[in-house]
Amino acid sequence: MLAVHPVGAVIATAIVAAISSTMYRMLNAPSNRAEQIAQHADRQAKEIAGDVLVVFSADIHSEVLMALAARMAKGRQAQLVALYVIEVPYTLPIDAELPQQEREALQVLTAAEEIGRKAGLEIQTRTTRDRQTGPAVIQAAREESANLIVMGTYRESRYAGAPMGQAIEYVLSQTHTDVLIGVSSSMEGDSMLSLGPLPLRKK
Amino acid sequence: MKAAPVAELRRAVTTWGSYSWGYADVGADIYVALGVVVGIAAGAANVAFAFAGIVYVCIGLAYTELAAAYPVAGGGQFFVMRALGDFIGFVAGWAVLLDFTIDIALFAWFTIGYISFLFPWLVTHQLTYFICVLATTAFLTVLNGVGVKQSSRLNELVSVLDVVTETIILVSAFLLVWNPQVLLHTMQTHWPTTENLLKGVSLAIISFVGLESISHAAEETRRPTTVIPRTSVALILTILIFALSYSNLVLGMSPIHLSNGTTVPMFQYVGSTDNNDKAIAVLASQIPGVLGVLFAFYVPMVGALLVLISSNSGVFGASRIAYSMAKFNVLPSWFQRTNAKTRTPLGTIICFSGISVIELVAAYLQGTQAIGFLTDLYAFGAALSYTLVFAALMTLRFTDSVAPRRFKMPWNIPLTVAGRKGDLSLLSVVGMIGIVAILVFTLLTHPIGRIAGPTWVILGIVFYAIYRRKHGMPILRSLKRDWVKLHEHTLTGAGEIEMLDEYRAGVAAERAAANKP
Repeated sequence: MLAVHPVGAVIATAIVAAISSTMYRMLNAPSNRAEQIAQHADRQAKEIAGDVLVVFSADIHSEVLMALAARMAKGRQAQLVALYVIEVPYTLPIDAELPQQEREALQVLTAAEEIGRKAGLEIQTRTTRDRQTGPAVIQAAREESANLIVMGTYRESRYAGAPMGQAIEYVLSQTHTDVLIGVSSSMEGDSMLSLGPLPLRKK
Repeated sequence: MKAAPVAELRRAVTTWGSYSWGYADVGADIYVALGVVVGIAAGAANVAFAFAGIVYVCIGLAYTELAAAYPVAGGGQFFVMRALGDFIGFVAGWAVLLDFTIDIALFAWFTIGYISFLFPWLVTHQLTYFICVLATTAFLTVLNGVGVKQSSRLNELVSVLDVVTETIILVSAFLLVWNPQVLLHTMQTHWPTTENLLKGVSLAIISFVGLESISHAAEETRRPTTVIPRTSVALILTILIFALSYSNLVLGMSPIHLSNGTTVPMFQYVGSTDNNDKAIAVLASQIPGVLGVLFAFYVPMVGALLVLISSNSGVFGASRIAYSMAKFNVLPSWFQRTNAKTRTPLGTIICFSGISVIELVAAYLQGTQAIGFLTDLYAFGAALSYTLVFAALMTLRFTDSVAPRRFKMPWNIPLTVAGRKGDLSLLSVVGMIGIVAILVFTLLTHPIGRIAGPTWVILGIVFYAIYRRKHGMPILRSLKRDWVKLHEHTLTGAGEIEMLDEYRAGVAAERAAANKP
């Protein structure tokens, strides 16, 4: 019959306590400034990944940023909404038939859904019509209670006095939500943020 | 215009990595020291470990302060050279090199010792045993020579495994087989002679050798000034807890009944020449029930793996130190050369492994005193280098007081020595007295260490003098070096920006004060 001596039990307990507390203290070193910044930035990044509105239009191409946003949102409780804005010219009624633009919207949003699926996320898509992209984005962001608006590379057919494009300038001036803008380094499609031409399919 | 070279950031070693880097070296020591020390210090083994433990705490704190302030790969050798000049720096480095070569030999010996617990016929075939030890040394030399790096992951894994295993051994043994009355009885009836007690104290220090390793990894540690104090202190405490617990455990365990009908106290059984090369495995196998059966298979394997890693740390530690010494012209530049094919310091590795083989052969020729021969030298090298590290710590507190220290040894008294302001840690004085005492004990009580140790140092000094003279460098004086620039470079490389600012401000203030009329 084994008998545990009380002094032995006390020493055994003390050994476990001493080793555990030594390890705990060692592994919980106070962070330095660089680590504090990194931790804080990471926390912030988690917060902004709450509800994200990714904007597409004829001039705004957000596929690459959509993929980035999907990666960011993965594993967190985040809602991704892909919004396509069809700009209706003032010369037409707002509900005029625009089959080419609607087809383009459908194609872009299907691709956005696929990007979300690849990242393991279910995303919402919506198409909206407006005279201008900027107000439509502000309206949608309000309705979706977005924490972040993502606007991809901007390609405007003509310069209209806004260096980053009228839609982006408008959104920046009108919203209180954070905006993530992807500024492409080139118009030629060889920037990392531009989708660029699709690779040729192998025959 | 060419851009100024930017300091390279090499901060791959994490907190646990830094700890396990040290643990792979020091953690294995108790596997070696327990049997040797209880065999000599008998009923006072716990007292011997306690005395050495107090000295070790002081040494550990001194290393912690210096390694956090000077996160460079040279370790003790660098600290001593920085404080006391090239010549004394060489002696410290040479003593550390002795320990690393002994480390290779001694731990290769114990690797086979622990394996022999599973294959007992090795014990009765001494020549085969010795050939296995030589083969282990050769295996490690080839491994390092061809550039197979010791995996940090392996270190980390084995460290976790060993800390958990040793904790379980101690907890279960204290619960199941330990009795304080047996401890008191053993201490009263088996108190050793004064000579054996002093010898036991000087040997107990070998259970704490290897703190150098954390310093060696300092240059590659992330946030070294924050991480190193924590890992060093954790290492000091873990090893101290294990050493004190094992020594009290073995004295408080019931006597063992041998198959020939005799009964011997547990410490005598563990410390006998048959068992002292596998002491922890022998002790763990005496725990009753399933645990003891499991430990009888498992502990020898973990022990063999840990001491093998420690032996390996001797191989690359020696080449690292030699490289660092050659960089500062205290050893020939040959030690910096790497092989074009393997990209490793092959010559240096073969050189120090060769010295280990000579030590092994010399040990083998001592017969039953083989382990004693190696541990004597190990204790001598450690005591000498630690003594010089204490002297370096005390000196640098005055000569380089502006170097920021994120960790300082406690109990400081402000002093002014030769017009230089600084402070003296009373704990460093305690440690210095303790380690000098151990050095004296080693010289008084170890007949081999008394001769072989100083002979190693004298041979080294002759070699150093020939090398420096041949290259027109002073022998006793130091070469001129820009320590400020070097320290700035070290701090930049370590990413310690705040410390760098603090250091620059300190240097500027010191220079301004010196230029004041």
